[in-house]
Amino acid sequence: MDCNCPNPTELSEIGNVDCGVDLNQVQRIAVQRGGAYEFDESASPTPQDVKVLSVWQALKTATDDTKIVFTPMIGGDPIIEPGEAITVGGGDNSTLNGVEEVQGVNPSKFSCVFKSLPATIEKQMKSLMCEKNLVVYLFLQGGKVAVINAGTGVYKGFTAQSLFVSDRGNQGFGTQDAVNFSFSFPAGWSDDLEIVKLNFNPFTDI
Amino acid sequence: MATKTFVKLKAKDQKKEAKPVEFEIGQANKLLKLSNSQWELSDDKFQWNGIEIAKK
Repeated sequence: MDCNCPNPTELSEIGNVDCGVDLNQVQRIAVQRGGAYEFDESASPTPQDVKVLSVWQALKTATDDTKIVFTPMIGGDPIIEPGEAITVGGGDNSTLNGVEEVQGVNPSKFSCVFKSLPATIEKQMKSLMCEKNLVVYLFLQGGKVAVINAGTGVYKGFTAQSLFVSDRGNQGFGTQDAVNFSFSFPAGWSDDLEIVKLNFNPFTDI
Repeated sequence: MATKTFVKLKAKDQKKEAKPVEFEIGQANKLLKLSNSQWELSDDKFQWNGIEIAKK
């Protein structure tokens, strides 16, 4: 959050909530190198409409930094833990009147579990840990995608840092092996969130 | 150094006014091989035999 001077002359307006916005369940993730691509509905000569399957297919088969890879369906426990406030002091002599000072926001953390992954897929997913500049697209229940609104008809993925894919865990008889998957979103990751209904099924069509 | 071959494909799910896009032939082959490909060949110099793109 940028709180540097000068302050606005008045408080910034907060609009009315006409309808709620919820991600609901994240069910699949697409990963791409950061800074390489934006979906742009009005791009010329060929629109790069985020809602259109052919655009995603071109990215899936790309041979440069625009290439997108898709995880298998998430097996369970997809959650996003919002970053907590970074504070100083509170109830001691380090701040004026002992009042806690909020100095920033920690990253948010996405985590989930992939179940019964073949070793080849597990290994392929682990190669993402060597990448230092990634963005992700979150496919949501109902076949929608969560993206960053970067302008009229322009969308991009969320920056994902510290991506981690664990080794296989096993809980014994009658259980499925599990691979833990996580990454961090930088503070403010959801400020320009938009949920877009796709013209195709991102769980079966790609 | 070998020169790359580019092939024009047209998206079937884009608006009609969308123009064909040039892809390197390797990527074009991958796109046309997808089971539910939304791309089709749009290049007079090439043909698609269901397996790979070849020059006419």
